[in-house]
Order: sequence, then structure tokens, then C-alpha cells
Amino acid sequence: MLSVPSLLVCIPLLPLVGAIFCAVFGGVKELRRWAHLPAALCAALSFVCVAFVVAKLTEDGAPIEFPVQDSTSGQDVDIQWFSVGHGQTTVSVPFELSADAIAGIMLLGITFIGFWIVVFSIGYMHGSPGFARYFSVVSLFLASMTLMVLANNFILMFAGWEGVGLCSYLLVGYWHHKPSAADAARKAFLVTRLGDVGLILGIFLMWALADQHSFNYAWIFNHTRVKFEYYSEVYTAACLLILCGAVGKSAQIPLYVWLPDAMEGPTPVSALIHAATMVTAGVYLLARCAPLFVLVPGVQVTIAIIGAATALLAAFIALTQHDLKRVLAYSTVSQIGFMFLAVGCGGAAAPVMAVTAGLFHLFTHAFFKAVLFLSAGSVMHGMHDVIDMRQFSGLKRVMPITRWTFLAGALALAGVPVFAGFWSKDMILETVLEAGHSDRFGSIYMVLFGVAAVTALMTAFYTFRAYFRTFEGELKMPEGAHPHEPWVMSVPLIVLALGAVGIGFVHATPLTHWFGNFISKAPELMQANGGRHVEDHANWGLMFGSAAIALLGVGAAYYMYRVKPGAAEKAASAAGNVYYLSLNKVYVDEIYNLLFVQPLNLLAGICKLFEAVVYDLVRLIASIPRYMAEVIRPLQNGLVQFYALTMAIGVAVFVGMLLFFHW
Amino acid sequence: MISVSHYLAVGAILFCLGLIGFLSRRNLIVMFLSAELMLQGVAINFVAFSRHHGNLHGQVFTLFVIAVAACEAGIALALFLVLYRRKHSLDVSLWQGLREPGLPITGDPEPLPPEPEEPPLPHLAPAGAIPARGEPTHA
Amino acid sequence: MIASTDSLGWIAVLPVIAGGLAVWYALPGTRRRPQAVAGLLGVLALAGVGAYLFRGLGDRIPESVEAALFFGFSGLAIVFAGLMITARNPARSALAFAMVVLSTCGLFLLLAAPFLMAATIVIYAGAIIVTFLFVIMLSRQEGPSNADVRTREPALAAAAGFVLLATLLVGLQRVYSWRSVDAAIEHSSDLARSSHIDEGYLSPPRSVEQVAQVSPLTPKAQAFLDEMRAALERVRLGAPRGGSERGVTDHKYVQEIVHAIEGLDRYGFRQHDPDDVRQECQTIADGLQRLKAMRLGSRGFTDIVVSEHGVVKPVDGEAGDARQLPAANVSAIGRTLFSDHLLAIELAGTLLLIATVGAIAIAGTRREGRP
Repeated sequence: MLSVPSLLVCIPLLPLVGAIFCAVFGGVKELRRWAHLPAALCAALSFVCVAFVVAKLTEDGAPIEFPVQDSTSGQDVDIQWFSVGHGQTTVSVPFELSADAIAGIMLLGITFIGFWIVVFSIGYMHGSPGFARYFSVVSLFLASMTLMVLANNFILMFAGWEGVGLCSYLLVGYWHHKPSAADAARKAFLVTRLGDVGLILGIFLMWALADQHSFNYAWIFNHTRVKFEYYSEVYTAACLLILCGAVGKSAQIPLYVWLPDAMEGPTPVSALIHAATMVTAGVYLLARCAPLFVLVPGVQVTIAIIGAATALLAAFIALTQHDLKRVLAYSTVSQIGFMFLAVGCGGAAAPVMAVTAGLFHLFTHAFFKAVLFLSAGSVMHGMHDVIDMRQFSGLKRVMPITRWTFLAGALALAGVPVFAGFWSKDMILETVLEAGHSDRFGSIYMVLFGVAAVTALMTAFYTFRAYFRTFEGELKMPEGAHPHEPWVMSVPLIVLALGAVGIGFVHATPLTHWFGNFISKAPELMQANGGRHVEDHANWGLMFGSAAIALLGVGAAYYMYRVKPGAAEKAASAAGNVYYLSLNKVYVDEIYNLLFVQPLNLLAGICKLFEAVVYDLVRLIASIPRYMAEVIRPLQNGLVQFYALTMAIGVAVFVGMLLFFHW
Repeated sequence: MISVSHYLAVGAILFCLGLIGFLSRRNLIVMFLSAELMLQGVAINFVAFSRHHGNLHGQVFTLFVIAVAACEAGIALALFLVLYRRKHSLDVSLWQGLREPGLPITGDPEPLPPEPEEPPLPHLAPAGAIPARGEPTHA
Repeated sequence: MIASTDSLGWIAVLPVIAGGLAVWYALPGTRRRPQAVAGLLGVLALAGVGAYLFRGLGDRIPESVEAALFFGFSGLAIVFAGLMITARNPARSALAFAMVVLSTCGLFLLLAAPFLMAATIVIYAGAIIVTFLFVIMLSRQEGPSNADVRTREPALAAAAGFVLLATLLVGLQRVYSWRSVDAAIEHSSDLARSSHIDEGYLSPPRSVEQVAQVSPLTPKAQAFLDEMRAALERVRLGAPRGGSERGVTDHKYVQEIVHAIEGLDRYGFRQHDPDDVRQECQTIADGLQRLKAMRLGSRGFTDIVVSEHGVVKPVDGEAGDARQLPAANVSAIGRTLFSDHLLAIELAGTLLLIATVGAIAIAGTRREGRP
């Protein structure tokens, strides 16, 4: 039987092996149609490993580490990954994995949802060119993501971080012959790179401050606690740089522009990477670095403001989009904004509470957003790749299973009581409210609470707007539609929909507290918390209020799209410019274009002009030897014997000189 | 006695005659023979020094020279074959492709004078009867 | 520079000029020239070469069978080489080359290399036959062709070749002609042995009041000293000079001669001292004799620093006698080849194999390459 620490290695290793096998299967013609098997099998096995690890964590709560530190000999057992330089300046990074409660939760979500999405993809991607490539990259993504979560030092984490970025690039650009997909992939890659530069700078800044010894989390956090008062400005800068990385990866203001475009990829990929797992990596990073951020309340507030602003802006844009996947994409941005908001409360409220709220929302969001995306994918699959909501409606008659699963996800996203999203969103609101009572920044947090409440209302509205327009009303389908629901797609939908309905009960505040208790076992959170005790009480008023907001939003959508069909157009014309502002995504892409792209284009033009001038100058100088060469060019007349003659004359002259001048 | 210097002189003469042939003759095969002539001159030098120093190094070196010359002969003849197939001539001056771009081809000034008429070969007087057309020549 | 008697080398230059003219005249061209002129010049050049070989290289050649064979084979080789490069018909060139190879093989036999002779006949004869076949096969065309009738830069090519030949022959003459050295040795040993020194060498004895002045050398003495200096230069030809600037000292025989010549210059001739002159002349004669023996290889170069890289040792075997080649030529070559030159012979074999493959690959018929 494998020991639990060695299971840790299996978690990223199995999908990696799966990726290699998928690639090999893709290279063999006979095996190509079976290329999904290794990916699905390895994802399932990886999930089994995760289940074992989480069971062990629930048992005693102590982090599981690999390689196992031998306490009897007291020697560090390191598996060297790489080592650069020598002497004083050695940078050596070991391959070390560690699973604590935060990682356990992340892994659970990643491998479980990952497995079901792989199963869904079997049906969705059937017959697509590059079938094996798809599964290979998805499997590689699972490997990178689990490695990122399991890493016990910053550099290994960064390797996984870039790995998921690469897989995201490859999958967004899956249909690479389509210019829009290729552009979207490039945009996603470049925009996240902006954040990653900040992240790696932040990592090295902290490493430099921590005696340049190790990138290990515990080592750096311990040093931070000791040295913070001497280097507070530098640490603030480091925290801002890390936040920069998180903002890029998790698509927050100002770097969120890549995520809506990333919907060019296959829909299961949108569900897995751009909704459930990868984009939440920023939240994971912030949670992991909670011991750092708890020291800098200013940065915490910044995080919260960024989160709230992103949530509001994305929800506002989502109100009017016609593309079903785009609505879901903006909703993802908005929900991640919620998570940022929650994590950003760590300074004012208790860090454990903030991180728990953020991760809890991350966890439930993964389920219900995955099921929403997959349902949208199912719709797209049936509607012959049409995803514009204006072109279909009333699909509940032809796609009943999809309708029910989408409804489950929508209810959860809207925050209707008892569904998963309700519990987590309620917890976030409660955390923000708690932060609002703190001394510093209290008023800011109160404003943010208001923003969050408005966003929740908008969320409920746009979610059900999408639902009503897609599944209710008259049956309308685009040309060439062929609605069908193969079991290989329906089963994952049903499983994940059940999750969207019920997963919230892992921490339904007045009833169960498993999630909170589990998370708070993470040693870093305990360290960040610094002994503050959190009373996990049920705020009934807030719960009723949030339920009311959700129901209000659902009701408004019902009124506008079911009861009075013309109300939506009237409301739009009444809103006037505001409506167009939302429809055109607040013109952010256009503003970025004006602010960044155009000046760069101008600079490039100037450089081109300069180059032309210099090039001509160089050519002018280069023509001088050319004209001088005209004099001796006739010597190169191509006659072999002429060359030989020249050589012979040279030899004769040399021998003659030896004879007459030397002797 | 005949000293090494005499052999060296003969070797030098053969070498220089070969050099002149290589430089001036335009037939590829004659050029090749001239190169072989130069090698003969060098071989005489080696063997003379071998005799002079009383060891066999010079002779061994000559053996290697002959081996290389044999390789050269093989490759050169194969190349001549290919070149002849291309232009139906063994004239080395036809191959000027490696000259500087834009330079005119170095050609021959005037056409060759016609060859003097050779006297016709003498005919033997026919012996016996001339067989008539269509008649079987043997039974 | 060395003495004027050797530097001229007319005996080398004359046949070269004649030969150059002959070859230039005989090289094929568009105009038909009377070949008799070329033949005459060629005979002149051959005679010049003979004279050079007889007289130009020092040692007197005995009228032996070896000499006759040598001159016969060399003459054949040179004549047929000339015919080869001047023949219009490539087939004749090939035949002439075969004759050159056969004559060269005769020279190999004279040089005690019977195995090489056999190998050369076999290999070259084979190669010649093949070449000859190719000549017949390929260049069978109607009428004269440019390739055979015209030549590229005949005057320049002949000039370059014969200038090179002239320099080589003059160089050989300088290195191997010991005529001036022999004369100097004879001259000085005559002077050393003579009981009565010729008064023409000695400056007149000085009177008492002239002691302080330095008496001038007589013309005869001056000529003698110049001859000795030139002979010394000639003997040490090509060896690095001594002196402080090179960090190399001349070896002791050279220094002895230099001292002796200086002694004659300062004291012997000027101070009318016959005994001293005799002694110094003896030293010069002995020293020159020894150096010449070293140069000719009949004496080992022992204990002599001649280069800045260290001592030059005798090349092979014991010093003193001329070195002998082994009598069993084939077995000796085999032993050397497969012991000292094993790697080289393997490489040569590989080279032959690759050349075979390459020749087949190049000459193989290609469908698309055909015109």
C-alpha cells in the first residue's frame, strides 16, 4: 500500500502520465479515437489519491509533506529540483510537496470537477480534429494545477502557475486556425504574463529579504513575521507585486479583459479552466499568503476594493450580453471579485474567517459555475455551435436534462436559499459586514458591503435572464440545430448539478461547520490568525436579507422576460446610454486600445522610420567597399586554370624571394 | 656517384612540366594527367630522400601518395563523365559558373580554322565477283 | 649574400630558358608552328639539363652503369613529360604519360625501391589504361575541339612554371654544390702544407718606426680571406645564425673557423708571421672539411646547438658511415607499414573505399540529371 506522502506525488504525476499517454495515442492512428481513456482514467485515479489525502487531513489536520522529513536523524531529506550558482549566491530549489487544508480543498475541487469535465468532453469533443491533443493538454493542465496547489515553495508553485497558463493558452487557442481563437489565446497569455512578472518579482523580493536561503513557504512567512517592522515598505511592495500576479491570473480589474475572450476555447475548457479552477488560482495564492497580507492592512483593503469593483463592473456588463457563454464569463469575473473581496477582509475581520469565506465561495462556485458552463456547452452542442441567446429559446422541451442542471446552477449562482451559492455568498457578506465593524477602514468596508449587495442583486437578475431566455418561452432554434443529450454528457451534468445543489451543506452556518473547521486547521492560517477566535454564529438578519435580494433579482427577471415580454426593451430604452455602456462592456477594450495599444503602435512606427533611415545610411556606407571591389572583381572570372595560375605565380614568387633575399 | 640532389632536380623538372600542363591545357583529361605528372615528380623526391636517409619513411609516403592518387583518379573520372554528359565536351573553359556576377564569359576570340583535308585512305582492289543485290550469298 | 661564383647559377638558368621557350613554342595553338624549332630548343634544354646535372651539383659523376641508367631514365622521363603536355591528341598524352611512369619506375629501381616500382607500374598502368579508355570513349568527336587545340595563357603558364623551376634548380645548386667549398679547403690546406708561404699573401715586414701603424693587407690575402668567409657561409647555409639576438651560439667548429679567419686578418698576414698563417690555415681546412661532412650527412650532428628548440641529433643510426637501406625491400616496407603506419594505412584503405562509393554515386546515371 502506498503511504500517504507518496500519494501526494501521484496526484500531479498521474495526470502527467495521462498527458503523455494521450499524446502517444494521438500519434498512433488506430489508438486516436481512444485517446480520452488515459486522461479520464488518470483524472479518476488522481481524485482517489486526493480523497485519501483529504481523509487523512480530516483525521489529524497536520499537513502531509513530501519528501517525509526524518525527525529521528534531524537531517533534511531534500530532492533537489535545480541549483544555480555556487558559494554565497546559490539558489537551490528542492522538489517539495505539502498538502494542508487549503490545498486539500483545492485538490478536491480540481480533481473531482476535472474528472467529470473530462468525461463530459468525451461526448462534447467527439469527432473534433485534435481529439488527442485536447485530452493531452487537459491532462497536463490537471497535472500543473495540482502541482501548483501542492507545491511547498514559491518557485515550484510558480512552475505550476506558468504550467496552467501554458495549458490555458493551448486550450483557448485549440481551434488555432480560427483567427479570433488565436488572438484570444495570445491575449490571455500576454495579459496574464503582465501579472506574472509582478508575481516573480514579488517572490524574489521576499526571498532576498528572507536571507536568500529558501523559497519555502514556512521559511519566508517566518522571516516576514520577524522582519516586517524593519522592512515594512519593502514587504508592502512585495505584497502588491504578488497581488499583481493574482489579479492577472484571476482576471480582476484592470487585467480582466482576457477572460471573456478566452471563451473562444471549447466550452468544457471554459468550465474547467476559466471558471472552476485556474482563474481561482489568484484567490488560492492570496489565501496561501494570508500570513503575509495580514501584516499589511492597506493592501488588504486594496484587494477588497479591487474585488468589489470587479464584481460590480462585471455584473453590470453581464446584464446585457446576448452571448450565453459571455454572460457566464462575466459572471465568473464577478464571482471571483467576490472571493477577492472576502479574502481582502482578512485584515479587518479575522483572517481565518475571510479566507474561509473566500475559499468556500471558490469551492461552491467551482461546482455551480462548472455545471452552468457545461450546460451552456450542451446547449451549444445541440444548437450547432450557436450560443447567441437571441437565436433560441424554450429549449426546456428538447433538452430537459440540460434545463434542470442549468436551473440548479443558476439557482446556486443567484444565491437562492438552500443552494450552494447562497451559503458561500452569505458567508462573504457576513465577513464584509464583520470587517465593516473594525476601527480602521471600517467605513470603506461598509461601502463595499453595499456594492456587494447590489452585485448580488444584479447576479440573480442576469443569471435568470439567461435562464428564461434560453429555456423558457416559445421553442425557437437556429438553422441546423440538432438537440440531443448523450449520456456521456448528461451524467457529468447531473453529478455536478447535484453538487451545485447540495455542496453548500459542507458549511451551512447554523447547521454544519465542517468546511470552516477543516480550513482553519491549516497552519499558515492559524499563524495568520494569531490566536484570534472567531465566533461562527448565524446572522439571521443577513441571511434573510440576502435571500430577499436573490429572490428579488429572480423575480425581476421573471417579470421582464416571462410576464411582460416587452418590458426588457422598454427598460433598455429607458436606461439609454447606460444600456449601451453595459452592452459595449463599458468600452474597456476600447480604452485599453487607446491608452496602450495606440501609443505602442506609434512608437513602433517611429522605430520603423528610424530603422529605415539607419538602414539606408548603412547601405550607403556598405556601397563604398562594393565600388572598390569593382576593380579586382574581374580576377574572379570562374576559370579554374586562372586560379591555379595565380597560385603557381604566388608560389614561384615566394620561393624566389626565399632564394634571393634570405640566403 | 649520383647524389640525392640529382634526383631532386629530375623531380623538380617533372613537377614543373606537370604544372605547366595543368595551367595551360584545356582538356580535362590532359589536365588530370598533368596533375599525376606532378605527383610523379613528388614521388621521386620522396624515394630519393628515403634512399638518402636510409629509412623507408619516404617509400611509405609514396605508397600513400599513390593510394590518394588512385582515389583521385576514380573520383575525377566519375566527375568528368558527369561533366561530359552535361556539355558534350571536355573543355574546362566551359565551366565558368563560379565567376563574379555580371562578368562576361571568357570566350575564344576566333573560330577554329578548318582542319586540313586528310588524304583519303587507299582502297583495296575488290577481289572476286561482287554479289548482286537480292541474291542469296550462301546456299 | 654568398660568393659571386655560386650565386649566378647560369648553368641552371640556361636550360630553363631554353626549355621554357621550347614548351611555349610547342604548346598547342590555333596556328601551326614548325615543330622543328621546338625540337631544337628542347634538345638544347636537355643538353643544358645534362650539363647542370653533370657540373652544377658539385660532385663529379663517375662514368658508371648507374650514371648511364640514371641519365637514360631521367632523359626519357623529361622528354616524354614534355611530349605529354604538348601533344594535341589526348590519347598521345596518355601514352606519353605511361612512358613517363615507366621511366620513373626505372628511377625507383635505381633508388632501391623495387616494391614501389612494381606498385607504380601496376597501379598507374591500370589507371592509364582506364584513362585511355575514357579518352577514346569520350573525346571521339568530329574534327578538332577547343579543348585540344587551344591553350589557356600558354606564355604566362610556361613562364610561371619555368620561373619556379629556375628557382628550384638554383636553390638545389646552392645547397648541393660544394665546388667553392672544396676549392677553399684545397686552397687553405695548400697554404698550410707549403713550406714557404707565397710572399704575395704577406704584408711586407715593418720597420721599427712603423710598428705602431697597421699595415694593409695585400690584395691576394684579402681575396683569400673573402674566399674563406664565403666558404664558411656556404657550409653553414640554412642553419640558424648564432649571435646574441637569436640566443643561439654557433657550434664550436664554426667558431673555430671564425676565430682562425679573424686571426689571419689581424695578425697572420699583417704581421708577416708564416707559422701563424700555416697553423690558422690548417684549422680552417679541418673545420671546413668537418662541417661539409656534417652537411653531407656522413657525420652525425652531435652536440651541436643549431636551433633555439634544442639539440639536433643524428637522424638515424650511427654517425660516420652512409646509412643503408635493408636489402629485403618488400618485407621491410610491410613491416614499417603495419607497425609504424598502421593508422595511416587503415585511413588510406577507408579513403579508397569512400572514393569507390563516391565515384559510383557520382557517375551513376540519373534520370532527371540528363540533358
